[in-house]
Amino acid sequence: MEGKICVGVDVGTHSTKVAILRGGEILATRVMRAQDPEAETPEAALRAMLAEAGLSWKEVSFTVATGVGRDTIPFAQRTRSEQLCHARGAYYHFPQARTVLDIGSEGVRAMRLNEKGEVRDFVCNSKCAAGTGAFLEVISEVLEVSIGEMGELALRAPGREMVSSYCTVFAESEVISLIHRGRSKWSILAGVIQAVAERSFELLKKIGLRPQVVLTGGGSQNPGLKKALEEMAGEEMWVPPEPQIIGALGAALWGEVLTISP
Amino acid sequence: MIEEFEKTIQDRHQAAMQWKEANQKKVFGYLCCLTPETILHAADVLPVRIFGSPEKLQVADEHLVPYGCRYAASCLDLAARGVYDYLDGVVIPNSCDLISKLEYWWKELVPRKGPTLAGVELCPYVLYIAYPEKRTGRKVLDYYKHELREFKQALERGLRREITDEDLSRAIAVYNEHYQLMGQLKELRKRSPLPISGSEAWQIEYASQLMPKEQHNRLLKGQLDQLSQGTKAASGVRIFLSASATDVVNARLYQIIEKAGGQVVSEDISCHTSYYGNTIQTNGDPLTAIAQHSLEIDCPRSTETCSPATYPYPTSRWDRTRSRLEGYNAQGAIFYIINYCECRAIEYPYLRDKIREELDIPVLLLQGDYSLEGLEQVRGRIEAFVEMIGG
Repeated sequence: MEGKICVGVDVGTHSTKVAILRGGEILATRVMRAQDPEAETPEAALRAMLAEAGLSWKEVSFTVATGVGRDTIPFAQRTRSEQLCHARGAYYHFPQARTVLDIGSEGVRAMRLNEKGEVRDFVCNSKCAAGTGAFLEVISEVLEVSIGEMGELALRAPGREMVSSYCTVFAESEVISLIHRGRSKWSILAGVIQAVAERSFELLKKIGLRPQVVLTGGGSQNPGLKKALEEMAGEEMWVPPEPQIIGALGAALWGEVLTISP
Repeated sequence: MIEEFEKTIQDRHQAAMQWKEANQKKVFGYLCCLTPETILHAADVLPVRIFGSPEKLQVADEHLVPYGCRYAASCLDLAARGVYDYLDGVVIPNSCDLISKLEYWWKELVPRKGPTLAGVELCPYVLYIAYPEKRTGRKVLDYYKHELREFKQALERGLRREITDEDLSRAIAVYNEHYQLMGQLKELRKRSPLPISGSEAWQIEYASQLMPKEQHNRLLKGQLDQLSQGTKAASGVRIFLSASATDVVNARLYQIIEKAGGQVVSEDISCHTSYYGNTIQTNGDPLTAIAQHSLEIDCPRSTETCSPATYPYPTSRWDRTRSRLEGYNAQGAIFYIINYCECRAIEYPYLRDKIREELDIPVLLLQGDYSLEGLEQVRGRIEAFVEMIGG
């Protein structure tokens, strides 16, 4: 495979993602948990990934960083916002994408794209973490369920409890009181996921829900959340492969653009 | 930027106190653009705008509702902590709901008596101006003229001096020169490349509300001469900024926009001197001219939405907003609305839709709590917005 090598690094709140592109094709991706003290630094991860692919650091044409910690990557030539990177990453997989919803750990963003994949408008969640991935993580600890299986378990719930979504701390208290009242764990989970979906759906309504809607970010791996959003919207939503690395992929794709006209 | 502007901005309180000491004259503080500064100037008083501070509230929080504008609360908080003790008087117009209530709270938390004669207070320390709710109508001018006459008489009693028509005309001349010079600055900001950055233009505007207008006019003239030569250029995505309150929080907003690759080329900011688009008429009764001019102020508090049954849309605000966008070739519009600022929040959806539909310009809404930390949380959105436009 020939072509220039571009790297994207997405420094999120809970994880750092790295994507390497060669000639516009995905060569390698990696996700490192931010809280893991054993986790590689982005630079070490990139070096290892390049070595595995038989490439050297010098062969990288351009590196773009994105995410909340994008300014902490010294080897990145440029930075790009999450909105632009997720849109570009989603458009790479699905050129039909006109609305992209990125459900990240502490941020949810909805972007409206034109037919060229350019962002024409975006909206973000308010400062509070309610309705984001962090909210789900808090609840997963309370319910003693792994974050990965939350969505599947919620899909099997016989019913759905009502949980408010406007404050993570209050919602946590609500969940604890529901447990004390003996409500089913699965129904509580279904209620929590519904609450997150409602918050995210508000953003989709604000931006104007235009098909095709594409979900990105770690939250989009949750099948319960996807189903709840689809029910609210009344249409199917698409999830790209490895949705959590879409920001890094988008950043690497921006590298291809910026290396031409930095 | 001019050193004197910077010096005044860096310590506005010190600058006012020094002026007072050097000139042995009175300094009055005022809230909002609705205050008729010219009458204070005619009385030989230095009017300085009362601003807040992004510091945490220490006193006012105990007294004001939590669901109120933090900017207004901060102004009161500084007063209650003695920061504004150098003021010889305070003028509060009934602009928005919370500012109107500050008259009461100012008296409560800063209990100072105005000058007295034989034990009788001649003029209250806090002067209230009942600006009309509706700015148009058969009797509005008469009413407001009467209100301003009472305000003038209170000042005359308190200062023990007459404010003659000649005094008013002299003040009008100084302020008209100021409006004209600020108009020239606005014209320069229409140019491309931009001869002055948004934050430098902000400094000029901010300083104009804190220093004597004669001094500001003199300094600005020199600055305009330099700028018109076009030796400097500021680059970036051209942004229109609409925001509550003009002070250090807004200053940080300008910096964030510039760091993200944008430049503010025009604005619509509460209590900005830019509100005075027109000059005051110089033929006829000066007090009538001041009242007329004041009634033309384009403030979100005084839109047609004050009478929603008759005028559901703030059309006059749209006309002005349109002119602030079109002539300046703005590529994007940012609205920064302080939480609970209902005047701006009410008009926002209409203005946003008009900007998008008629001008095809993207709009970004930011909401804040009047803190510098709060601005850091919207930094990412500003960066994304500027990138979205600039590519």
